[in-house]
Amino acid sequence: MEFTLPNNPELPPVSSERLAEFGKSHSLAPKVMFALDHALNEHLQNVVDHSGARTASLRLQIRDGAVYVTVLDDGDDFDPLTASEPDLVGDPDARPIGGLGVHMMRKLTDSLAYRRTPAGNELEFVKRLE
Amino acid sequence: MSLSQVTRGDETELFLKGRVDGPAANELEVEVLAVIKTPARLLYVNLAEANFLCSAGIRVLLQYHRQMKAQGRQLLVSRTSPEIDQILELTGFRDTLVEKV
Repeated sequence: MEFTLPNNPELPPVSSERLAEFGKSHSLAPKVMFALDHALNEHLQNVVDHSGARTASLRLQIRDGAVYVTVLDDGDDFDPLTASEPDLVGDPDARPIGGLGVHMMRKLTDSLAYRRTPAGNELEFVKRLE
Repeated sequence: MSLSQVTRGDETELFLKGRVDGPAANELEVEVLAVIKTPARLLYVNLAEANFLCSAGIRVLLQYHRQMKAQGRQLLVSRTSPEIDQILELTGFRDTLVEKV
């Protein structure tokens, strides 16, 4: 499945609906869908809030026993994977709250890969089916 | 997301149902701020029927958990669905936010 959407506040929820359609058509397990839905939402909300992109193009594929979700946005050069890991062990009432979105993306997927292309920022999520 | 509210004395409980995504997190923040303006001593956020929680929603819970604690009041998550429990656990804030029974 491939689709391109304008970058506006509807980007995350509409993409989630398309992901659900994809998951249903391929009978993907609820835990796989749950993880991908959360991870994709975190990234697309960052695209909406920070990228300055006009559009985002998504490609959903199943190959080699995994789901591959690739997001290409035509916004400013930004690698979300350079964000530092949040502090998860300090005083819970004092440690910084930031960085949770990328942390969730990392924890809920099996791998994440970023590359800057002539067309923009490309982030690939991989979630194994087992 | 749908949101409802029950107040018992100086305790208020917000019941969130469905998907707590970015727009829903903004809606939650508005509701929490409205409760904070009341004399409520304890604010529960019930996530038993929520099935999605984004980082913006967690930030709202944490920010006002800290603010109310500094005022000698409390904001706690009263109940979670298994999905929400998983998300809070992986972000490391489960023990901080979820009421200990």
